[in-house]
Parts: sequence; C-alpha cells; structure tokens
Amino acid sequence: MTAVRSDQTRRPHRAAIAGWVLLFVAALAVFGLAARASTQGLAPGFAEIFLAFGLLPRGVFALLGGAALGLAGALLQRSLRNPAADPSTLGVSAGAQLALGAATLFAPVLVAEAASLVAFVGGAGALIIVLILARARDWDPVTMILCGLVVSLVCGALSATLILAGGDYMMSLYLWGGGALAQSGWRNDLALAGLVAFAGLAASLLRRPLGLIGLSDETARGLGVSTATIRLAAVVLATVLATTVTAFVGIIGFVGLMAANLARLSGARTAGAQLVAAPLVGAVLLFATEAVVLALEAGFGTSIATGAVTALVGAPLLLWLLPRLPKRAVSPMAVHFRRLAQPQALLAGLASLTLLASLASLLLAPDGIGFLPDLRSIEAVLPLRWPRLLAGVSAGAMLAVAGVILQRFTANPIASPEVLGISSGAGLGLALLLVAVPFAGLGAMLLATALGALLALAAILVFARAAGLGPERLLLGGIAVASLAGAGVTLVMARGGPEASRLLDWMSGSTLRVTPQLALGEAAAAILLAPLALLAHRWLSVLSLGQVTARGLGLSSARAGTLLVTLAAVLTAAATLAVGPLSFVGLMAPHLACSIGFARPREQVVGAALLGALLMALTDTAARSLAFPYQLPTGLFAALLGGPYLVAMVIRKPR
Amino acid sequence: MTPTETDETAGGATMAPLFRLQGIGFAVGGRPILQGLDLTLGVGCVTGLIGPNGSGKSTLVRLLARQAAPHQGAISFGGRPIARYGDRDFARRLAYLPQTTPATDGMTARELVALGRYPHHGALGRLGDRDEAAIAEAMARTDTMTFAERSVDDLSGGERQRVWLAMMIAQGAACLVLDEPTSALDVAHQAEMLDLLRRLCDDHGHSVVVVLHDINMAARICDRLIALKGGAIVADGAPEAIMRPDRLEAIYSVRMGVFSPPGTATPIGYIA
Repeated sequence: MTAVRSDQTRRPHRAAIAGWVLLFVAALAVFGLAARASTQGLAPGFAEIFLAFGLLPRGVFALLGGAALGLAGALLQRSLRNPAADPSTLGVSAGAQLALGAATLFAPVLVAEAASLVAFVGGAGALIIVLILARARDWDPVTMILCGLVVSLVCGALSATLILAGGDYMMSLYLWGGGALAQSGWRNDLALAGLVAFAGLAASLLRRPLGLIGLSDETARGLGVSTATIRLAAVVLATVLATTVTAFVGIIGFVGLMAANLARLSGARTAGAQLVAAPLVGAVLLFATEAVVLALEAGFGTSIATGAVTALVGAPLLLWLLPRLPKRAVSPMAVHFRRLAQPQALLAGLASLTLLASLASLLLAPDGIGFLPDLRSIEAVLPLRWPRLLAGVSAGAMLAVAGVILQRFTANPIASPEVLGISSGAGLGLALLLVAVPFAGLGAMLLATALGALLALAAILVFARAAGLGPERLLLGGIAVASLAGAGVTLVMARGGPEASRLLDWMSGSTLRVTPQLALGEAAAAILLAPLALLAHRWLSVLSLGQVTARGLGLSSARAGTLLVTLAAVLTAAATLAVGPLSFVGLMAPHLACSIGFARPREQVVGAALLGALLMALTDTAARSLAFPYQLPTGLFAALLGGPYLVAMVIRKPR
Repeated sequence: MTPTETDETAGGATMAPLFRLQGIGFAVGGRPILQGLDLTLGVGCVTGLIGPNGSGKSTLVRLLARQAAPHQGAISFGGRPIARYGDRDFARRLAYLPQTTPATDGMTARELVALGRYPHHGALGRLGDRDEAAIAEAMARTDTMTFAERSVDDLSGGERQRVWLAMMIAQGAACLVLDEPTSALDVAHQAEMLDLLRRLCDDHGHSVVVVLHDINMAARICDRLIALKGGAIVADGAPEAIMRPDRLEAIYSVRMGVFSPPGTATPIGYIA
C-alpha cells in the first residue's frame, strides 16, 4: 500500500504554504474580533488588564502549545516510524493526566511545586507501558495505537475513580482534563517558550539521524547511527513537550497527529523539513481552533474545552489516515498455552464456582466478614442485592463473550469491546439525552444508550467496508469513533449542568441503582444472545487463520465478520447499560480462559462467559463490602483490577 | 457449454477445460500487472507457472483461486464463469495455498486439516464419518499422521507445508492451486513436496497449478510450463520445449545454458 501519494510530497507546495499563512491571518482576525467582543462591557481599566493578562497570554499559549505538540508529534512519528503516533494516541497525555490527578489528591504540594515533573513521570510511565506491550509485535504501528488506547482507557478509569473519590472538588479536574486554554498571566507562556526553544535546538541536532532511522534500523545502524540512543532522545524530548502542555492546560488531543501529517501533505518530505514544518502547522492549527472557541464563548457565554474540539477535528483525520498506514510484516502475537484434555470437567467446576460465588454474595454480611445471621436479615437485604448481582453477572458473561469474538476475529489479544468504541457511543447517546432532558427516566436512558451504541457500530462498519479494512484496522476505526464520542461526552460534561454528575455516575459503572426490571432484562439478553456465539464457533476457528485462508475455505469474511461484530456490539451495548463502559471484563475473561487452557473456540466462549460472570460476582461483592458502609462503583472497581492485569499479562511472557 | 478445442496437454479431452482465461487484465494503483492474457489450462495435469519476480505469476494464481477478481476479461472454471460459483461450492472444487501461510494460534495439525472440511459441513453441520475418513485419508497421503496432535506452529517448515497440503486435500477439491509452496524449504524438502504433488496428479487425478521459482524443479515435475514476463505469456509448452538456452534467456533476461546429465530425462538450466 502507498503510504502517502508521492507526487504530493515531491517538493514544498507554494499553494500549501500560502494556505497556512492565510489560515493564520484569518485566525488572527477572528481572535481580534472575539477579544473585542468579550472585553466589551467591562470596566475601562479592567478591560485592558483582561486583555493583557487574560486574552493575549491565551492566544500566545495556543501558538506555543500547538508548536510544542506539533514538534512532539513529528518526533514520535519519525522515531517510531508510525504516522499515527501522537501523545494522545500513545497514552502519554492520559498518563500525565492521571499522575496530576493522583498528585492533586494525595500530594498537592507536588502539583504546586513541580506540576510539569509530575506530568512527565506519568506520561513517560504510560509510554513505557505502551512500548512494552507493543514489543511482542515489533512495535507495529497498528498494535502501538491499540496498546496506547488500552493504556489511555485504564488511565481514564483510574482518573475517573479519583474524581469520584475526591467529590465535587475533583470535578474541576475532569473539566480541566478537557483542555481549556484560559490563562492568567504570562508565567506559563514564558516557561513553555523556553522549553519550545530548547526542544527546537535539540530537534535540529537529531534531524539527520532521525532521517536515517526513517528507513530501517538495519540501514541506520549500518550507516553508524546508534538507533537506540537517538530514538530514546527523540521520545524523551517529545514526552517532555507533550506532558508539559498537559500539565499547564490538560489534554489537547490529536494536534501532534494532525500537524505532522498535514505538514507532510504540505510537502515537508525530509526529517529536517518535518521538524520545522510540523511545529508551525501545529501552532496555526491550535491558534485557529482557539480563535473559534473564543468566538463561540463570546457569542454563547458558555465555556468550551479546546482539547475536546481538537479531538473532534482530529479523530476524522485518524480515520482518513488508517487505510494509508504502512503494512508491516508482523509476527503474530500467538502465545502458547497448554491445552486441556478434559475441558468439560473444568467447565463444570467453573460453573459451580460461579454459582457458589453468587450465593455467597447474596448471603454475606454487609461488611463481608461472616454470613447474615438469620432469615429475617436475609429477607431484608435480598431485594437490594439480587438485582445488582444478576445484572452484574449477566453483563460480565456478555462482555466476556463479546471479547472472545473480537479477539478471535481480529486475531489480536488486545481487542476487546471497550476498545471497539461501542461503549463510548453508548455514552454519547446518554450524554445527548441528558442535555435535552436532564432528568430523563430509566427507559429513555436505556433507549439512548442502545441507540448510541448501535450508531457507533454502524459508523465503524460503514467506514470499514468503504476502506476495505482488515480486522485490525476495523479496531482502529473503533478507536477513532471512541475518540470522537469521548470528545462529545467531554464537551457535554464541561457544560457542568446537573447532567454531568449523572453521566459520571453511569461512566463509573455503578450498579447501585439497578432495578429488578433492568436485572431481568440483562439476564434475558445474556441467555438469548450469548449462545449465538457458540453456533458460530467454526467461523471463529476459520477466521483466526486470516482472510485469504478463510476465502479459500469458502467462508466470506465480510459477511461472517459483519454478523459476528454485530453480535459483539449488541452484547456490549446490553452489558454496558448495567456496568458502565469501563469494566475491562471483556478483555480479562477471554485471556483467563485461554491461560487456563480453553483453547478451542467453543470451550473458550463458555469458559470466558463463566469467568466473566464469576469476575463480576466477585467485584460486585468486593465493591459493596470493602468500604462498607460506602459503595465503590462496580464497573470502575473491575477496571482497577483489569488495568494491572493487562500489564502483568504482557510483561509475564515477553517473546 | 464450452467446446474443447486444442487441448494439447489435457488428459480428459471430452471435458470442459479446467480454466479458460480471455483478455485478462489486472492493475494495482494504475500500474498494469497483467494485460490481455489468454490462456486455457487442462484437467488432470501439473501446470507450472514460472518467470522473474514481478512478472504477475502470483497475481495470476490469485485470480485463478478467486482471491481477487480481474479488472478486465473473463475466467471460466470447469466451463462456468468463475464468479457464478457459491463460496463453499467453489471451495469444494478448488483449494488454494497462499505464498505465506498464516500463524495457526496453537492449533494441532489434525485440527487444521479438519478445517479443510468446512466447505462440506458449513458453520453448523456435524463432523460426520465421511469427514473423518477424508481427514484420515488426507493425512495418510501427506504422511502427516505422526505429528497429528502437535501444534502446527512448532513443526518444521517442511512438515508444516505438508500439513497445509493435507488441509487442501481434505477439502476434497479436484483442483489444487499453490503459490510457491517450496520457497522456504531446503532442496530435499522441495523435492519431497513436489513429488507429492506429482503423485496427487498421477494417482488421484488432481489438477495442479503451481507457481515455482526454481526452473529445474519445475521442469522435473510439470507437464506444462507457462512463463510470464511483464504480465504477458512469453513461453508456453512442455518442459523439453522450454528448457532451451534461447527460451530461458528470453524469460529471465540473462544468458543461460542447458545440459542433460547422463541417465536423467530432465535437462538442467544454468546461468552461462
């Protein structure tokens, strides 16, 4: 496949440069008009102060921040040879945000004294995890983005937990997470200007070796470049740039991705040209976005998160980019597990274990120590306990089955329903409903989440079909849709109305308010839908051999794939209604099933469903009992287990 | 419906030809790979496709195996337009081995061969006695029984290639299409694999279309050699007719000589 059309990159296009200048001038004009509009009606003396210490620093910060992110994007893309690399697609921004959130809650003095350092540690940590995760596939571009997304999701789940734990005070952390550029004074500008100047100098030194690394490691090494040192330097530099911006204003997604790719399309072909052009393009992009945001704020009087707006623009670009990513011959991630000779016996054992755990969950004392003493207390708590247990167990089984389908279909062990963007679509549906009707009832909420999930799925499928994508890239379509939907949710949250706290409640996966009707509905969905995956077990076998072999055996992977993915999406949507979007059961359960030794598709489906149900029964009990009389949200609690599990799993068996 | 014309190499002269290609064109990104290709392939023989890199061999077998559709022209298979067959119906008649075989995710050899029965039992059908018999037969013919319960990923290159061949045989297709099945094998295993193909044709009536890199190996086992260059046929005929210095030079654009070792039937080509 051609990466980028070569005739467009042959020489710098004068027209492209003129276009960027024109955009900058237009943005300046809009910024000026918006500034005048927002200073109108202020007291004469105050208007000047607001302009000098509020608006001007904000504009300059947009330029500097855009340049920093553009440079970070270009450095990452060059050094990792991955045109979809960006601080936000590789988990750097989310890691920085998590570190800042944790520091705000547990060590506020650190944030006051060294916010940038805290952010850097978090971002670098996330990036290291992504690099370790992707190592098994030789840092293939698609795998890197997948790993980056999973790490971002885990960091997001942890951040959400912190927000819930911190209460209203931390709600502002979430708003800040959306990336608002508001400034009060020139301090941040000065710091960032110094950093960008230093990074520019460092990048100019890295220009030549990075050009050679762009070919292949063997070639570069043959020409005497120490690839490891150069790559490390470039990645560290990019991380410093991106996390510093995050420390000042939160996550500004996709600017680096857009800047580096648009720079290349505008004719910056060599490493040197890209390292100059990408920061310039990034500066113009973020400044233009900021001008529009300022104009909208002046016009409507509400605050809008700039970072969410850049994600709204950037996610479609990622979609456009996906079919053009270079295909690299990757060694498959096949990991050898032992196989069970007698899987049936173990399945029966698992089933009884799940039943036992559910029974224990119903009968345990409220604080989890000992059992309920008599029949009367059982009668008292049973109506409170069985709906959420039944809903959780059903949702766990459904997520697990969806995970098996997706992992088998994409032949990628990191695929999971959380990654396909279905849950984010459900979240956007709910967000939009709550904006329209802040106190909507349960029925309307169910309808809205289901519609959102199905719309997200339809978007992914239409895109995948149009671009003729293989399973892996289908997942990337899911990521882009997830980013888009996530940006929409952030925009709604940032409005800060009564709907924000309801959304956060749902996102945290609280099963506290599950009604008997919802629980019975979840159980019915699980019983009706999950066995369909068993019927398709042969498809799952054949499809895991790839499209060519599947076609050779007379199985149309387009048709079978569409049916399977639809099933996975419906399962996910149904489960998400009860346990929220972030549980990671769909990732964990299929893996556990594999590592126990359920290797054939049929056993894996049944084993994973039982394990998913077991996991949710245990987390529901733990989330309810650990902090008694307080309750932790079940979905988030599961995610807190899922994140470390994922990391441990991959580190345990490096190839 | 299609009358058989001059089928110089085909065994069954009364049957429709295996393949009939008319005016085939195929392009990738605007660059033509195949242009105006006309070709008829006969039933019950081993046809070898040879030619330099980038000559269009792999593209041609992908079209034959219906992995891609031609941009121009028509292909008929067994007397019917190739697109008219249903997915599983086609898979019951033609089995295809791509140049690189996918990783098998810990599957055992026997499980992989059993997947060859998918075109027969479909998504829901049970693995019946006939399926079991076909699997056993395929594994016996390829001598893969001894490692039936081992993971395919753990086998040696030659063993793994035989397992994939067993899967194709289990498919029960009369026509086998293989894209460089010997490219990763040493000389001994190349010969073993190709002799196996020859026997499948001689003893069991399979029609075989195989892309081969090594001209001498191809000449040893094929009934007919077709040479492609730049997306067009530059030589077509029995091995003896192709294995001549001037023909080989025309195919590979390098000076070549041919000699016949005493006591063997097939001539050997070498770079002069």
